[in-house]
Amino acid sequence: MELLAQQMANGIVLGSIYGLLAICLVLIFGVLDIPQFALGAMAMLGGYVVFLLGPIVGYWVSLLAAMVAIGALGAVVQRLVFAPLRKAADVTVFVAAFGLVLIFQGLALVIFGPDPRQVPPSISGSLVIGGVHIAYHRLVIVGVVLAVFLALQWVLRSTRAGRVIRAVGQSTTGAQVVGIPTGRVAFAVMILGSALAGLAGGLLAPISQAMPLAGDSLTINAFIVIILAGMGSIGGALVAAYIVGLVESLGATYLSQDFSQLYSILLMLIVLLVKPSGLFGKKVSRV
Amino acid sequence: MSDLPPARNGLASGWGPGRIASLAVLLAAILAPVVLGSGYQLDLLSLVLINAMFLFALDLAYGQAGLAAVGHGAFLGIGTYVVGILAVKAGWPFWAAMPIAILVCAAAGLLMGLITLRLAGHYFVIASLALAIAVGLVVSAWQDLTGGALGLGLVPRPAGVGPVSFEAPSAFYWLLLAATLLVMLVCWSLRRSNVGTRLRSIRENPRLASALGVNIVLTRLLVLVISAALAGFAGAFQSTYLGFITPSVLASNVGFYALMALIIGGQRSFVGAVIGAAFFVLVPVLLQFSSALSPVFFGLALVVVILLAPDGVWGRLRALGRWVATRTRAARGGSSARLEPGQERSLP
Amino acid sequence: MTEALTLRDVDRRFGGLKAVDSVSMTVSEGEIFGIIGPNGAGKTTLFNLISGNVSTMSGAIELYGRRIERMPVHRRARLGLGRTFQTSQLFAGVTVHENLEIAEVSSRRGVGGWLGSPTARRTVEAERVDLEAWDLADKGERLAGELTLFEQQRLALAMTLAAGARVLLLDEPSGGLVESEVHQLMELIRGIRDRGVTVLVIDHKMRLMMQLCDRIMVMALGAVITTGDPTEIAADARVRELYFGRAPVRGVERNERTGGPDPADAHTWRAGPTS
Ligand SMILES: Nc1ncnc2c1ncn2[C@@H]1O[C@H](COP(=O)(O)OP(=O)(O)OP(=O)(O)O)[C@@H](O)[C@H]1O
Ligand SMILES: [Mg+2]
Repeated sequence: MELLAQQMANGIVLGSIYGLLAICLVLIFGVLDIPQFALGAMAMLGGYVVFLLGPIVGYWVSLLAAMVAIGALGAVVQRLVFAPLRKAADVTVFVAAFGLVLIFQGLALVIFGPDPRQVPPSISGSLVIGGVHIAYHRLVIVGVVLAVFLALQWVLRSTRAGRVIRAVGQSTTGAQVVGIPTGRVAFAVMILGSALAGLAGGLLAPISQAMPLAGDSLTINAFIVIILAGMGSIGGALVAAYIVGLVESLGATYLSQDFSQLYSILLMLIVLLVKPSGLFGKKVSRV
Repeated sequence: MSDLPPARNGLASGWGPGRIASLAVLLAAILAPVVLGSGYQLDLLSLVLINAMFLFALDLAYGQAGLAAVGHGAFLGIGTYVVGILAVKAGWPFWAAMPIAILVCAAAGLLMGLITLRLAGHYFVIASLALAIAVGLVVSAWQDLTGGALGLGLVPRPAGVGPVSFEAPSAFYWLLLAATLLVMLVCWSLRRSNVGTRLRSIRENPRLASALGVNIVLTRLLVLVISAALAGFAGAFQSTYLGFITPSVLASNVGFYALMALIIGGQRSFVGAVIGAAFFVLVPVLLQFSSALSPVFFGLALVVVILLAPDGVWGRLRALGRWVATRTRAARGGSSARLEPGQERSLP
Repeated sequence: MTEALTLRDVDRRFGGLKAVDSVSMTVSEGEIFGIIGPNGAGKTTLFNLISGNVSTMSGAIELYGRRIERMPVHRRARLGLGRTFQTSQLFAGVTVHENLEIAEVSSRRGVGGWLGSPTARRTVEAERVDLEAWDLADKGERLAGELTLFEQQRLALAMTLAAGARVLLLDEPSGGLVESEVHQLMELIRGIRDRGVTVLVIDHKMRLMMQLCDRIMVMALGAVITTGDPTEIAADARVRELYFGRAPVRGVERNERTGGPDPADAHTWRAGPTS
């Protein structure tokens, strides 16, 4: 029973991180239609920012710095790569994003080497409830992700900027027709999404350490999450992310550690076969 | 994609730059062991051939059928493991194991196609990648059969045929060369066949293609199965080339790297695929001083090629060749700008 | 007379919009059947339902007595249903010759349709005859995208026939053509019909439709207003009303500036619910 509770707690923490990245994807992939496959690698770089600056300026300031730095990186990438590829085939954009993964991972490897780097948590120590240990930092992760989700939800639902973003998400040409500067909106959304990826990486670093390959599984799981959820709503993405986190954590405990990634993949395939539009999606996306 | 010239390259028509380059490459490839001896360099060339075979197969799926088969590395890996397992655990000779590898990969391709082909664009990419990761996980975890992370060995070289033995590096190299040419022949006939015509129609205008009666899903499924089978064939040779197999042959980035090589070299062209394979094998060798630099270099090259030369290195070289040709013809006070049948068209 | 195409109570909604509202019609073999109506009337959607590019919500579609409304696009094409599109109707990046080759290959059945090669069955002679028939003889090696609009239109027609169409759906074939070309187009369509092909045609050029069609169906807001031969249609009070805009149908308004369009030139009339 204690083990179950412990693993559920871990699953929720894991799900929160996946959820944050999936929210980035809902923005960048769902709204802008850019399959930003390098998001995980950018999160990984965010982890290194916290690793570098944390000891000097403290965790929270370094986390902010990670968001700013990765947001800026997103701006650069949008200007240099994705904006010029606006009219290119889907596949091309995807492969270009993979090129970015190689560049980011390679740079991290060149600069920091292959070994994981320890990153101190925001708050050390852990909460103990009935034999279940939860590091305070993990609670911080869950809390921050929920706060980000609520804030974004409010922005998207109730502000002018949110309406504009949703309009672009519905139809780029439609948005252009009513006079929305879609290029600028895309730029802003890319910066926002990238900054959130930096946040995810900075939050994750204290538990998983900073290392060049840290982003790989994040990317895969974030994509699995939004396929599971169905494109379109950040709420659906967060719920699906918790599901993936729980499946992964419980599967690793009760079935086999070796297959932890396999469970969410299987879940995704089943959903794709049964309901291609995703658990919470409406639009069926088929050839 | 449709801004690329149609798939009529050197082999299909006239004495264009494509055909001349193909023949030059072929001649150089045949003579390589004589020139290079049988050391490290020949070993690298053998690796280029195996990768070229795989890229030919991948090009069917990517260049011809327009499928972003990022998970295609799985078929190469499955082929490698099938031959490895049969050879090491059951003592099968290469020539018996290789057809099994082809069949298993064709079946895997069929399965993957049935699951993923009905999905639109990005979903296909993610689903095929996820399936490839799943295969890698299963193989690593199934230790009794695959040796898990410890690996599997030793896979012997193919047994000799009659008086010919493939033990010597040069003989093995020539075997690989013959296999590569065989794969090329299969791809070439497919491209020239009605299937190739259908694929072209789907690439150019899928809506019109289906209105004319082309079954898009079935055509792509067929090509995916053939492509997977050929990848399995390449994997069989990779198995005996490596001798010792580890799960790294099934890493999820194998397919990505292959796509990268194909795009950099130039899709829908055999020469382009060979350039891509050589690039992929040789860059890490040239950047030996820092192994971490080659991904950065690959990534930069990929992004730059996608942005500036969507038809790849070979596409640019061909365009250059055509440009030179028109200039010389114009200098000779040459004929009209109208294209002759089968002549290469200039890029927009 | 044989019924080539039959629709019974075919429905299609897009969200709240009834794009095609319980349409029934019968087209006989060898007939030229016109469909007219203001922008947004649902004409193109009706073609999409017949060809399978859009799926029906209810109702039946029969091609030579065979139910086709659940079939995918390519199967209907193989049963002899051909169509052209309002836009991008060719393989623009390949040559005229290759366009015809694709059309011809796509209709081949069985193992030969996959394994054979495109040139194996189609002789140079047949190709030449085809190109000459469509007045494209010296255009064989041109890229289809570089042809003039009328040449593209002819190639599109040639391709549907090469693919074996017996019932042909033409969506605004006169779009963008000059007067003399419209006339030639009309002759071409008549020629196609004389080969035994049934033709359904949507067009806004009323003179063309009046001269060309055996029967005309009028649509507005997704529904059939009336069907009849050209003289009946020209005389029909409801049609005149619709085109003069005396009694505006939902959202359809009379053009105040010019005092309403001439019904004989309805292509100048551009005030549909969607425009
Ligand atoms: N895929 C779609 N999704 C949503 N609405 C659609 C779709 N296709 C058509 N419609 C709507 O259905 C209605 C009928 O459109 P349709 O294109 O059939 O008209 P039409 O008679 O061909 O007009 P036109 O003369 O301008 O070509 C229009 O209001 C259009 O906006
Ligand atoms: Mg229309």
